[in-house]
Amino acid sequence: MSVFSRLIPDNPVLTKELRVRMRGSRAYWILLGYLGFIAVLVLVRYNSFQSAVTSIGAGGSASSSIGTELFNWIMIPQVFLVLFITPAITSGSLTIEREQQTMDLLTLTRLSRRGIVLGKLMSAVSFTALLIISSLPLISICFMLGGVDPLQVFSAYMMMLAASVLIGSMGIMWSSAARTTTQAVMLTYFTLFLLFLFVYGSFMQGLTQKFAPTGLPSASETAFNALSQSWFGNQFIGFRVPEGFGFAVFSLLCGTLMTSVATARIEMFPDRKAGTLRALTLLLISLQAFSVANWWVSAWYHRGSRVVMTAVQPPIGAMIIPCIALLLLVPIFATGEVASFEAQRIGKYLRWSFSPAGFKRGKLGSGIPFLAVATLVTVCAYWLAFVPVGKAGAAFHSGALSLGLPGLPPPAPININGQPGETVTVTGQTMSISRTNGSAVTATKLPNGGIQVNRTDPNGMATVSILTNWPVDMPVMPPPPPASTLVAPQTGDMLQATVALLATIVGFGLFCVLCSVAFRSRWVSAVAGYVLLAILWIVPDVSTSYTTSMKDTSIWANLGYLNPIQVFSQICEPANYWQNRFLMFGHTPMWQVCTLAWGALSVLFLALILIFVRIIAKENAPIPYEELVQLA
Amino acid sequence: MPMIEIKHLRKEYREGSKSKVALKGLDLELEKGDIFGFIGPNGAGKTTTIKMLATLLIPTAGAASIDGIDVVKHPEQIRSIVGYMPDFFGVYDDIKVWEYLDFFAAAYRLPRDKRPGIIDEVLALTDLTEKKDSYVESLSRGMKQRLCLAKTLVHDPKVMLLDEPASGLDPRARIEIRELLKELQAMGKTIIVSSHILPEMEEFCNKIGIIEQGELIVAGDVNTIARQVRGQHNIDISIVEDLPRAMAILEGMTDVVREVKITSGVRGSRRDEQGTQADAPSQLLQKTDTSGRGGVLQIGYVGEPDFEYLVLQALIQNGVKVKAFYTPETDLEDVFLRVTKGHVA
Ligand SMILES: Nc1ncnc2c1ncn2[C@@H]1O[C@H](COP(=O)(O)OP(=O)(O)OP(=O)(O)O)[C@@H](O)[C@H]1O
Ligand SMILES: [Mg+2]
Repeated sequence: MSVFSRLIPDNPVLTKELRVRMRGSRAYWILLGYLGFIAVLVLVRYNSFQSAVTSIGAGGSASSSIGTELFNWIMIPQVFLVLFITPAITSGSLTIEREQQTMDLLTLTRLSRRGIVLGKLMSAVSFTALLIISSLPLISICFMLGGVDPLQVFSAYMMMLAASVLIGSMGIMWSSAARTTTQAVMLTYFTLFLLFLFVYGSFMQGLTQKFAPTGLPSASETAFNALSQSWFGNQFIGFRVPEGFGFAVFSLLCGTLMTSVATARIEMFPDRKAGTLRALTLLLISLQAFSVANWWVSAWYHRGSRVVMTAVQPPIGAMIIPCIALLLLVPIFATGEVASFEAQRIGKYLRWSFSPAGFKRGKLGSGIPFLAVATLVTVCAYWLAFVPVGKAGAAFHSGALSLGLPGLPPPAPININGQPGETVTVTGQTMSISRTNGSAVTATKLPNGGIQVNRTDPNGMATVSILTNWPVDMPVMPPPPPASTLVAPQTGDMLQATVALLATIVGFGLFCVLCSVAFRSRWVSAVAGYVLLAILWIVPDVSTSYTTSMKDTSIWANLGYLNPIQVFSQICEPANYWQNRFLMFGHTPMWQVCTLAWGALSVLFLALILIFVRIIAKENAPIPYEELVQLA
Repeated sequence: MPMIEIKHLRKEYREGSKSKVALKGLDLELEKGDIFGFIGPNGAGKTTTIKMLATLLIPTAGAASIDGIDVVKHPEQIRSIVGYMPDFFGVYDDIKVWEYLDFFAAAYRLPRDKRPGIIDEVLALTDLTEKKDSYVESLSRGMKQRLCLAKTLVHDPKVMLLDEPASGLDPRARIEIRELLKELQAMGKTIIVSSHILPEMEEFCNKIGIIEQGELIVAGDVNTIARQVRGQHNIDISIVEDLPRAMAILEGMTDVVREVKITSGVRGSRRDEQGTQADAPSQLLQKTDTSGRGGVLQIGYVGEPDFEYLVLQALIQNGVKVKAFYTPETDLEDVFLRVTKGHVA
């Protein structure tokens, strides 16, 4: 045995898979086809470029732009190939073991389930890594032409590798859940499609924001922009990183989570591993909450070069992202089964569910406590994002910055016209403006505290930097409203949002538990949960868009009270939110109605759950042996 | 301390809302070095029991331990001392025999430098040495079965659970597997082998259990059971003439002979009574027969196997013309028909 072979991790699954994959000539044909395809693309593009050059006689600058374009021509098909090849390898990996009746032999060895899953994943990822690394020489053509810097190439390859881990893990996860390989492949590609739509959507969102910085996006639009910034931007939780670093981090974390799901599913007692899954979920969601909030907070306080991309809403909007994630997780964690012996001792069962041991087991009773803890951890992550900028206290009332009252015209923007080096005084605060070329620069202070920079230079070459900190947390207050106008909406911030979010998560969780005890099927109740979620998400907005006055408002529009995203929107945009929105309780703050509504529903759900638990308790099915061992 | 200890082991399968009992409270104790033959018809619960011992299924109730380790509480420890060969198994594609064994050797965490030696050993034991570099899918069924045995032996388990290792093999391959099991027996392993067929087990098992519909009907030392079962096992005696006298003699030997039946002789006379005149030749035959009344008798012999000849001797000494005296092969079905009548239990 050579020294070298000792260095390779001794994972027999990986060794075997690699041996088999590279056996014969198949692997080489795949590699040849892959490189051939990309090479032909490059050749076609390069030729058309050359004919363009000879006919027009373009200069050096065209060469660098063609370099960039060629790079895209190489990368985009590669991304698609990676996205399609990796799941094709992994989604069958566990179902095939079951189909060819080798799973039992494999699980009886001393290999850990994690080892099996990781071996399968690594063999797939290393194959895609081989494919994309073998295409590196083609990239050198782009370097020759210019327009591509090594960091960009590094970013692209890092993201592709991370994506192949992510997609590969997803394939393995479905492979562990599905009955047949066909099912697993279909489920994998379907999720891939949804994921692609989502990532593509939020990426495009980010792009539009980049190119149209002066528009006023809605709170959820800004939230998705923040999400895309945290993935594809060059800042990650406050550090300067290569672009796509955040995406790589989240892909790897998400991949770890999904391989853990696969590991748990092939375990003899899947719910014994629930603790790991819950901890990973918590880590993922709180890190995402932190990174989004961090981007938003630093944009809000005009840090660094983001002046032009100021967030125009208070950072509480950043909670929309973890809020969506939590809502999507509820049907997963709050569904399950209650056995009749558990129903008979429901008090003891619930007490046990709330203990650390209960958290570790994936029992239905501990689902809602876990979700509540996850909500609080997320809120803490949001609050932590204020700490690095030294404004920990501002987290509690940043929404109160928002100005404007219903029925009042928005206050007129204050225009700042400055010359280089000149100091402009704006309502008692100072700001100096410098410019890099000769053109005049104007900046507009927006009513909500943001700054809109108006570039008068037609070439768009002017850069503006604000030399002193623009004190956004002391905004320009509008004149007090005349007594005759509407009562000012009481809008709040972190605490109010937390209360509403918590009420929603618990209430929605109880709905899922109710479905579980009523339908006695985890899958059916999870689907019921997602259907309710979709209704709450879509129906109120559709209904609102057809409503023009208080008279023709329908009950459907009022369902919006049950959607916590509406709570965040209302806190973020108190002025615009009530325009064209005619709800049952007028301009009562959304968080109050949301909390009360979910509270009332929770009581109803609880009562129904208890009735169903009684019915289950009467069944008197025998206690499973596994539980007897636990109880003893 | 017994090597394998099973107490009230029970398994119910969930089928929708109902549950199906596959094993109804099995009790069994095996000492180190025991070779236990586990016999029963299809669906009796053999595979279910073996899978629970192999930690592949969770029992519904009861307990089982191997070498003092509980199979539910410590499945990891059980897996390193148990070798399991399933009744149905697949092999990987595109993999060579030695790679297949190397895979399992590594999976059982054998040190890297010891693996080649162990692989050669188990290949030699299972007579597959010259197939070392062949692809696994090119092996014949019997070879695959032996390869699976070789794989089971890689980590030198104390206990082996073999679920119908000889099923689907031709007689020659069955004998080869039997020889292999004898070698394992000599190596001092505790083995549970399941099968449908009793005689092939007798040779190397020292304990036997018969299971039907989830219940262990009989279990114990192979000699004890063999005697009981052999009591049921039949001897056919073909007699040329004077059937009633032969029957009288046999019925007199109550200590070794039980249950005397006329098998083919009866059929002949019945046809005669029905009096089918149409069939002239057969009528002729029957006529010649009636004077002597020959036929085939079946007796249940309960004595020692080596003293069967005494029955024959008694018949011949009494002047009965015996044409043939033989033991039809006992199949499990036969044993079972008796067992369930309560002859053994
Ligand atoms: N996964 C399962 N789900 C439901 N019932 C099952 C399952 N596996 C086995 N059974 C039932 O349990 C009983 C015992 O089956 P088992 O496979 O243990 O029998 P066996 O003795 O091994 O039979 P064979 O000789 O055919 O291999 C059968 O009635 C069978 O129908
Ligand atoms: Mg079987």
